[in-house]
Amino acid sequence: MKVLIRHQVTPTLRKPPAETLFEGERLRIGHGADQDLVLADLRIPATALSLRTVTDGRGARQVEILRVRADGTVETRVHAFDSTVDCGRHRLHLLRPAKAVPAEAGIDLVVEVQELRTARDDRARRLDALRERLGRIGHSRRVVSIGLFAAIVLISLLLPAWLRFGDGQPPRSPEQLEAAARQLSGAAVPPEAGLAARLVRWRPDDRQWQPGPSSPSHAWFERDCGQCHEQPFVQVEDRSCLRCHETTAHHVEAREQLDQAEFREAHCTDCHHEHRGAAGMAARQDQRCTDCHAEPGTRFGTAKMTPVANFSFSHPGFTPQIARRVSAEQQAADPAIKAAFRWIDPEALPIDPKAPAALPSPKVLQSDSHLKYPHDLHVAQAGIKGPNGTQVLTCENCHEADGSGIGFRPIRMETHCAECHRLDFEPNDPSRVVPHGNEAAVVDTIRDYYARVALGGGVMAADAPTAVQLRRRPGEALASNDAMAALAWADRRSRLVIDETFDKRTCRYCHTVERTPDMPTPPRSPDLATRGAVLTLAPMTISPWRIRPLALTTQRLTQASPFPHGRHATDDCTSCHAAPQSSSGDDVLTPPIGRCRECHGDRGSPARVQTVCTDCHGFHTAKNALMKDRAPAAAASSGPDPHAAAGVAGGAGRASVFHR
Amino acid sequence: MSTSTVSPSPPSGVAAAPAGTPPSLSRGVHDGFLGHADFRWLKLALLLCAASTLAYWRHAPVAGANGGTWLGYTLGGIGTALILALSALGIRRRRYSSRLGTVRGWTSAHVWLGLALVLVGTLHSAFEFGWNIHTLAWLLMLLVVLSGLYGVVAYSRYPALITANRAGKSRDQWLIDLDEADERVLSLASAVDRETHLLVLRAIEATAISNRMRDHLRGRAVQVRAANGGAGTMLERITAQLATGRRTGDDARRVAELIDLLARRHSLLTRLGRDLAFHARMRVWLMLHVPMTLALLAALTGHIVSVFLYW
Amino acid sequence: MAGAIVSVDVAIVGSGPAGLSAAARAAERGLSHLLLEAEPRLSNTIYRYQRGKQVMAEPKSLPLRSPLSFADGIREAILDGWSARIADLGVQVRLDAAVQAITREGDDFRLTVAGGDQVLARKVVLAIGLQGNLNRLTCPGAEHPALQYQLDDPDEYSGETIVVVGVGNAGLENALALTAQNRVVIVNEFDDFRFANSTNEGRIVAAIRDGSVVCHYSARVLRIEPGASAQTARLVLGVGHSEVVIDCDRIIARIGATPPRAFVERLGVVFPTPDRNALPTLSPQYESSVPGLYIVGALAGFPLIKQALNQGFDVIETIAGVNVEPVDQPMLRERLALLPGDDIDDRLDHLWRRLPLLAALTRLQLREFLLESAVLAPKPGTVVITRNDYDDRFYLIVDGAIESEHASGKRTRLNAGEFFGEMALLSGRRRAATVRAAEGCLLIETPRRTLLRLMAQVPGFRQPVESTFLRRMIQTTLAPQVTLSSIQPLIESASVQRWQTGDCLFREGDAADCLHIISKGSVTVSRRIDGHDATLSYAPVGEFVGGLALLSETAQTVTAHAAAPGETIRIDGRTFKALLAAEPALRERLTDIYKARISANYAASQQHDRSPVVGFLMAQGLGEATDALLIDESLCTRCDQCEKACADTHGGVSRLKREAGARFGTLHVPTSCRHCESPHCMKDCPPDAIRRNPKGEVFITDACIGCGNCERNCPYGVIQMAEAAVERPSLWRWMMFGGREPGLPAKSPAKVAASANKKAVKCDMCMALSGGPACVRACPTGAAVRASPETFLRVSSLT
Repeated sequence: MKVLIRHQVTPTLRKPPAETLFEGERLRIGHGADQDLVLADLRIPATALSLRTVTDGRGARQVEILRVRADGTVETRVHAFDSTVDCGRHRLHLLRPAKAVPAEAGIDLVVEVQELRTARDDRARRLDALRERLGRIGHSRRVVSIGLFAAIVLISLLLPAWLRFGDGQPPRSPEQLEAAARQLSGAAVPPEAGLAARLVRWRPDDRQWQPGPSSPSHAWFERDCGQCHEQPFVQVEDRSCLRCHETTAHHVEAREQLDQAEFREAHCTDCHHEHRGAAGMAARQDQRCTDCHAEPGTRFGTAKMTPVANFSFSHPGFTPQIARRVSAEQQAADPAIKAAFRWIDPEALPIDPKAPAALPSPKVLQSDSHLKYPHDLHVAQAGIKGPNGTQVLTCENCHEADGSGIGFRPIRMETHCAECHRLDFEPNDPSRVVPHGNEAAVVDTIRDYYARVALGGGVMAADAPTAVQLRRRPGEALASNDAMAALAWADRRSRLVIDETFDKRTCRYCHTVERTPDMPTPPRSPDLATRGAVLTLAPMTISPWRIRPLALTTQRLTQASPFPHGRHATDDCTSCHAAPQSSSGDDVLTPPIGRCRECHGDRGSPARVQTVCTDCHGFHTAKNALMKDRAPAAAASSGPDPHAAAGVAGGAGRASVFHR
Repeated sequence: MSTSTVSPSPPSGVAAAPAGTPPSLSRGVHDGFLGHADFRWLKLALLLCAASTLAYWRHAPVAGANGGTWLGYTLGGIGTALILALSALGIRRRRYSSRLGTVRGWTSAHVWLGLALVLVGTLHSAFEFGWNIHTLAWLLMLLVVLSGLYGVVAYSRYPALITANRAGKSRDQWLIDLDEADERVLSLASAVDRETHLLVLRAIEATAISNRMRDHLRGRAVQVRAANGGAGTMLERITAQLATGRRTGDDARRVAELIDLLARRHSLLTRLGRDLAFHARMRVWLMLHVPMTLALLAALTGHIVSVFLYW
Repeated sequence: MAGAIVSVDVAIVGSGPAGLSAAARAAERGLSHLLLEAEPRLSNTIYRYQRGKQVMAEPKSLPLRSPLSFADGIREAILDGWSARIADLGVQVRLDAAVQAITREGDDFRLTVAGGDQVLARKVVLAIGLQGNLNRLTCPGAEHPALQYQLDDPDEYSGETIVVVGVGNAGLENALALTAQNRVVIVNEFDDFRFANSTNEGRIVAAIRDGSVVCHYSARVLRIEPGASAQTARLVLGVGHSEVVIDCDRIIARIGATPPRAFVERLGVVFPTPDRNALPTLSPQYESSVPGLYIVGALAGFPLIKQALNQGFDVIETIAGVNVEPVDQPMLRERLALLPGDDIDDRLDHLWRRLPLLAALTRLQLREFLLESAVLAPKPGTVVITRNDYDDRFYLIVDGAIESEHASGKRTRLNAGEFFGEMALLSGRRRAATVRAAEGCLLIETPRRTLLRLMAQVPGFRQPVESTFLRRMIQTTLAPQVTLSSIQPLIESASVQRWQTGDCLFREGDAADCLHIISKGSVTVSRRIDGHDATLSYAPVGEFVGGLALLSETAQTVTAHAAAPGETIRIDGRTFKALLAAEPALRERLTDIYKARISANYAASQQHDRSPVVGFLMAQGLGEATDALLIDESLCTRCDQCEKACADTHGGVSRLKREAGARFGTLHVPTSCRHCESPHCMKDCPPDAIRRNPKGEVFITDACIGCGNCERNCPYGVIQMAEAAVERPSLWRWMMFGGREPGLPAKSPAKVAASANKKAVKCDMCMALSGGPACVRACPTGAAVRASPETFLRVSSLT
C-alpha cells in the first residue's frame, strides 16, 4: 500500500504543502514519535489510528480504519474514499488518488492532514467549556416556581370557581339545590375509604375551600357549597338557612321589640358558625345575650326584665312557680279564673340571688299544693312502717326518671302510695276498697256495697233491722217492706261510712276534704282543665264531700329549659332538694341558685363547670313569632307587604303558624 | 485572562500569619445581616409575636377562635402583608437602584419577620387544620420558613468554608491550573510509555463536572466517569501501574514527577468538588424556598379569594 | 536623487486638526501653501482612532473658527467631512512627506522632505503634535502595507498571524494583547528581554512557554516580501546564519520613537524648562523663538481638536498680516469683567501688579490661566472652601481678604496678593480649613489641572507655591502657635522627599536625625516584634513621624514605610531640637502628643493579630485610598449582587470585580476603585473628564473621549473601557420568562471589545443616587462595605 501524506497549509506558517510518501502494510497515525504520521496532539493515543486500503466484495476500494480509543478498545470501521476522519484536533481527508495526484502510478490513497484547531485553540475551547459548565450550574427555579404557582391557582382557585359558577346559572331553587345535594352526597366517598381511594376520587371542586368539616346536621349536603353560599362574595344569607329552618321561632314575641335593630339586623350567622365539625353551630358565648340583657332597660324600655350581666354574680335568683288557692269570691269576681288555683306572678316571690349556697329551710317558700305529704316522714333514715314492716324509702321509690333525662314520671297513687295507703272502708271486709280519684265513684262504691250487704242479709249489726240480720238462702227474695227497711239501713249505714271515709279515715289523710254545698251541680264527668302541667279535678257535686284538687308542678322554672336531672344523676337528690327536712307537702323544694353556682360559673371563671346562657335558656323561644317573619318594620318600609302590615296590626295574632 | 493588577504576593508579615485565621478586623466594619441596626427587626418580630400571642390569649370570640373573627382577620391581614413584604425581597434585591432601605436591612427583616410569621400565621389559623386550601397555604408557609431557616444556617456556615477551601485562588485559576496539569501529565505520561499515556488520557477524558444537584450536594460534582471507580481509584491504578516496572534514570524521575502531578491534579479536583459542594449546599435551599414561595403566593391568593367568595 | 524644489509662502508640517485647519484657511485665503504629511493619509492620529469612535467637540463653550466643520460625531463622518472640504478648497497636500530637516535660508526656510524633495517656504507652521517620530524599519520592503508602527486597538484584529518586531515594553504589551485573538510571533534582537519591565518579562516568558507566542531570539529583520495575497506579507528574518521565513498578515514594528522635542529644538526653538513635558515658548500669536516658525496644536499645549482647529485658523490670519483677536478674547473679557481696568491688557497688567505669583507667567500663559479660571467676588461671609470637602481648586486673592478657620478653631487671615487652597490640591487630602470671604474680596479660582500644568511648565510659578505649601504644612502640623519667624530655620532646613510604595523612610535603630511630615500619600509605622514586623499605626497627610526619637534623644524606635506613593517634608533633627529648646510651649505640646502615641503604640503592639491585617491592607494599596470596598468572605455568599447592582445602575457594566483581588483570611479586597487621595487616573486626561466631588468621589464625566489613558494609569486595574447599554432589562420579564437578567452584561466580552463607542468607566460611588453605593446597598448579608482607611484602621484600633 502506498499512501501519499500531505499536510494542509496551516494558518500559522504558510509553508508550501509538505508531502511524504508512505509505503507499508498499515499506516499508523498518532502522537508517538514512531508513527508513520505523527500528529502533535497529546490528547490522542500514541497510536490513535491505523489504516489500510481494502477491497470489498464488489471489488470497490475502501479504507479500513482501526481506531484505538482512550479506554484501550479498538474499533474497526470501513470508510469510503473522499470521506473524513477526525482525530483529536486534526481532520484526515481520505482522498482518492486519481483526484488528488496527477497520474502518479502506484498510489493507493492520499491522506490530507488538516489542523482543525491549534493547540492553543484546543485549550481555550476546553477551558471555555469548563467555564461554561461551571457558569451554568445555578439551576433555574423559574419553571418550577411559575409552574407551581399556575398549578395551584388553577387547581385551587380557577377550576373550583369554574365548576361552581361556570355554568352561569342563577342560584337554584331550594328543590333543585336539595336534589343536587342529595346527588352529591350520594357520590361522596365513604369515610371508610382509604387515602388512596379518596385521592383517586378527588376532584378540584370547591370543597377544598371548606375551612373545616360541616356540623353533623349539615354534613349530608356539605359537598354542595352552593346550598348556603349562594352568591359569590356575598355572606351566607338568612334565607339559605330559613329554607330548611323556616319554622324556627324567634326570640321574643312582642312586635315592638322585634322591631329593634338588635333583632332586625341580626343574622343567623351572627350566632351560628358552620364548619366547626362536631362542635356544632350554636354560639357558646354569653356576650350575645348580655349585650342586651345586662341592661335591658336601656334598649328595651317597654320590657320588664331583670338585668343579667353574667351568671356567676348578677344572675337573679330562681322564681319558681307557686300555686295559690283561689277563693270563691275571687273566682266569682273574675270569670276568667276558672280553676281553684292560680299561678302567682314569679316576681312576687324573689329569692335573694345572693342567697347562701346552703340549702334553705323548705319553709321559705310555701305553695298551696293541697296534698299532705311530709317528705321527711317518708324518707326518714329510720324507715317508715308499712304493711310489710319498716321500710326505708328513697327519692327514687316515687320519683322515677321518665327516660328523657330531664323529668320524672308522674306520681301515681295506685303505684306509689296504695301499698300503704289502702282505700278500704269496711273493717269487716278489708278487701273492699274505694276507687281513687273520683268522689262520685267512691260514694257509689260504698252505697252499692251496703245495699248489697243489706239485701243479702246476715249482717251482725245492732242497729240493723231484722231482715238484714237474718240469714237467707240464696235466691230467696225479700219482702218489699223488708227490702225497703234494709235499704233504708243501708243508706244510713253508707252515709255514715262515706263521711267517715272522706272526712275521718281515708281521704282526709292526704287530701283536703270539704263538704259539698247541697246544691249538686252538673256535669257529672270530671272537668279537666290544664294550666301548665297541673291537673285540676273538678269536684263531684253528687258527692257530699269534695277533695280539693292538687296543685302539683312538673316544671317550676318557666324561664329556663327543663332542668336536665339525668345529667346530674351522679349527685344525690337531697344535695339539692331539702326533702328530708320538709314536713309539709306545701314546701317548695327548688334549690337556691347558689347551689348551682357551687359548680357552675361563667366561661373564664374558676368554676368547675363553665356554663353559657344557652345551656339553660333557649334563644328561639317565642311562641308565635318566627325567624322568617322578623323585622316587620323593615319589611313594611320596603313596601306594602300585607303580611308585615298584618304583623304590626295584629300584634301577637299569628298563632296559626305556631308549631310548638 | 485575569486583568487584576493587584500585587498577589502578600507582605512578609502576612506570610508569617497562620493560614486560615480569620482576621478580627471585620469586627465593627462588617456586620452580618442578623444583627442589622442593632437587631431592630428581631426586636420588632419579638414584639409582633408577643402582641399576637397576647391578643390571641385574651380573645374569646363567639364561635371559638378562628380566622374569621376580628382578631383572625387582623392576624390574617398582618400575615398577608408580611408574606407579600417578605416575598418582595426577591424583587427588591434585584431593584439595584432602589433606595428603599438596604438589601441587608431587607434580609434582616426577611429572616426575623419570616420567623415571626410562623406564629402569626398559626394563630390566624387558630389551629384549625384540614384537607383544604387554607391548611395548604399554612403548610407551604411553614415549608418556606423552614427552608429559609436552613438558608440562614447555610449562609452563616458555608462562606467561611468556601474561603478556606479556595485558599486564595479563584475557580478560574483552578481550571487553568487543572488544564496545565493535564497537559503536563499527558506529556510526561507519553514519555513514560504507551499504556501509561492511555491510562492517563482515559482519566483526563473521563473527568467531568456533573450537572445533577444530587452529585453536587454529595461532593461528587467532579467525577471521573470511569467504568470502575472515581478519581481516587484512577490515581491509585496509575500509581500502581507505574510502581510495577523497574525504572532507572530519567524514566524514574519522570515517573516520580508524574505521580506527584497526578496527586496534585487529584487534590485540585477534590478542592473543586468541595467548592461546588459548598456552593450547592449553600444554595440548595433556594430550590425549595423560591418555588414554595410562589406556591404559597398562589395558595394565599386561593385562600383569600375563596374566603371572601364564600363568606 | 536630487529632489524637486517647491517654493511656497507657508509650509504646514503635519495634517492633524491644527495643520489641516491652517492649510484649509491658507487655501481659502489664496495663500500659496503646502501641507506636508509624513503618513500616507491626512489626520493620521484621528484616522487611527477605533472604527466608529465617537469624537467629542470639547470644550463646548469655545466657538469654532475654522474652514473645517467640527461637531460631535463618529470618526468616519468627521474625517470624510474634512477630506471633502480639503478637496473643495484645493488644499495643496503632499502625503508620505516626512520632514527631515528645516533650515533657515535668509528669512525663509528650507524643508527637506523624505525622499529628497525640498520645499522653500517664507513661513513654517509646525503642527506635528506630540506623538513623536516613530522609528521605522529601514529594510527592503518596508513600504509593504502590512507593516505598521502602531497598535491602537488589539481587539480590532482576530485570526491573523501578526509579527511584532521589537521587545521594548510597548512591543511586548502589543504582542500580549494580540494573543487573545491572534497567532503572535515576536522578533527579538537579543537573547533575553532586557528592555522589558519585570511584569512584562514574566508575562511574555509565560506566553512563550505555553505556546501562545512564538519568539525568534537573536533575530533581525532582513526584508519584507509580498505574501501570498496583497494584504499578507512574508517576513524574512536572519537568525544566526540562516534565514527564517514567516508568512503573516501583519507586521507591527515597535522599535522606539524620537520625541518631537529634540526635533523642534534642533530648529532653534527654545523651551522654558528642561522638563520632558515642557512646551516651547510661544508668542500670543503662536510664533516660536525662531521668527517665522509658528507652532500650533498639541505641541503648543492645546491637545483638544477644537482648540487646534482654531489655532490653525489664527496662525494663517497672523501670517496673512491680520491682527486677529484670539477666539477666546470675548470669553476672556467676560471672565475679567469684575477686574478694574479699561481693556483686557489693562486688567492683565493689574493682575501682574497685584499678584506676585503670576509674575512668572508670559502674557499667553496668563491668558490661558485666566481662561480656565474664574473671577469671583464673594460677599463677605460667603464660604469659599468647606472643611473636610474633597476639593482641589486653587485661589488667588486679588483684592480684600479671606479668613480661614481650622479644626482647632484657630483663625487666620490672608490678604490681597496671597493665595490659598494649595494644600488640599497638592496632598490630595480633604480641606483642612473652612475659608470665608471678608470685605471687598475678589478671588481667582483655578482648577487643579491648570495649576498643575503651570507648575510643571513655569518654575517661577512652582517655587512660591511649593514653598508656601511647605511652610504652611510645617506650621499647621508642628507648630500652629509658634510665630513664623521662629520656625523660619525649620523651613529652611526642610526638604521634600518622594517615596514609592514600600520605600523605607527610616528604620528602627537608625540615628534620630530627622522628622518627616507627610505631605502626600501615607506612611505605616511598624516595629519588629517576635521576629516579624508588626504594624503599629498609619499616618496620613498632616501627621508626622520620626519625632519621638528626637524628643527622647534616642535612636528611632520604629520603622516607617511609605504606604502609597507620596512625599514627605524632611526636617533636620538638629534644627528641630533647637526649636524645641527655644519654644517650651511647643515642646510641651509635642510631649503630650508623644505620650498618647506611646500608649497607642503599646496597645497596638499587643494586638498581634491585627498587625498582619494592616500590613495586608497596605500592601493592597489601601494606604492611598479614601474609600475602599472590603468584603468579609465569612459573610459573602458569592451571590454577586454587588457586581450586578453596579452593572444595573451603570448601564450594564460592572465597575467592580468581586472574584478578583487579594485575600487575607476571610478579608477580601476586590478590584474596585479606592478613590485615591491623589488619583493616578486623573494624571493624564486630555478632556479633563475625571473629576473629584467635594465628598471625595472620583468620577468620569461625559466629556471622556475614550483615550484609555486612565485605564493604563490606574495601578489597581479598576478602570475599563466599555460601552454603556442603552436599554435596561425589565426585571419582571426576566423573572417570568428569563432572558437577560438585570445586572448582567448585555453583550458578550468579545462584542464589547469590538465595540467602537467605548468610554472609560469606573466606580463613581453611585453619587447620582442617594444613600450610598449600590454595591453595598445590594449586599444581602453585609459582607460588602465601603470604608475609608481611617474607619477600618480605627476599628482595628491602630490610629
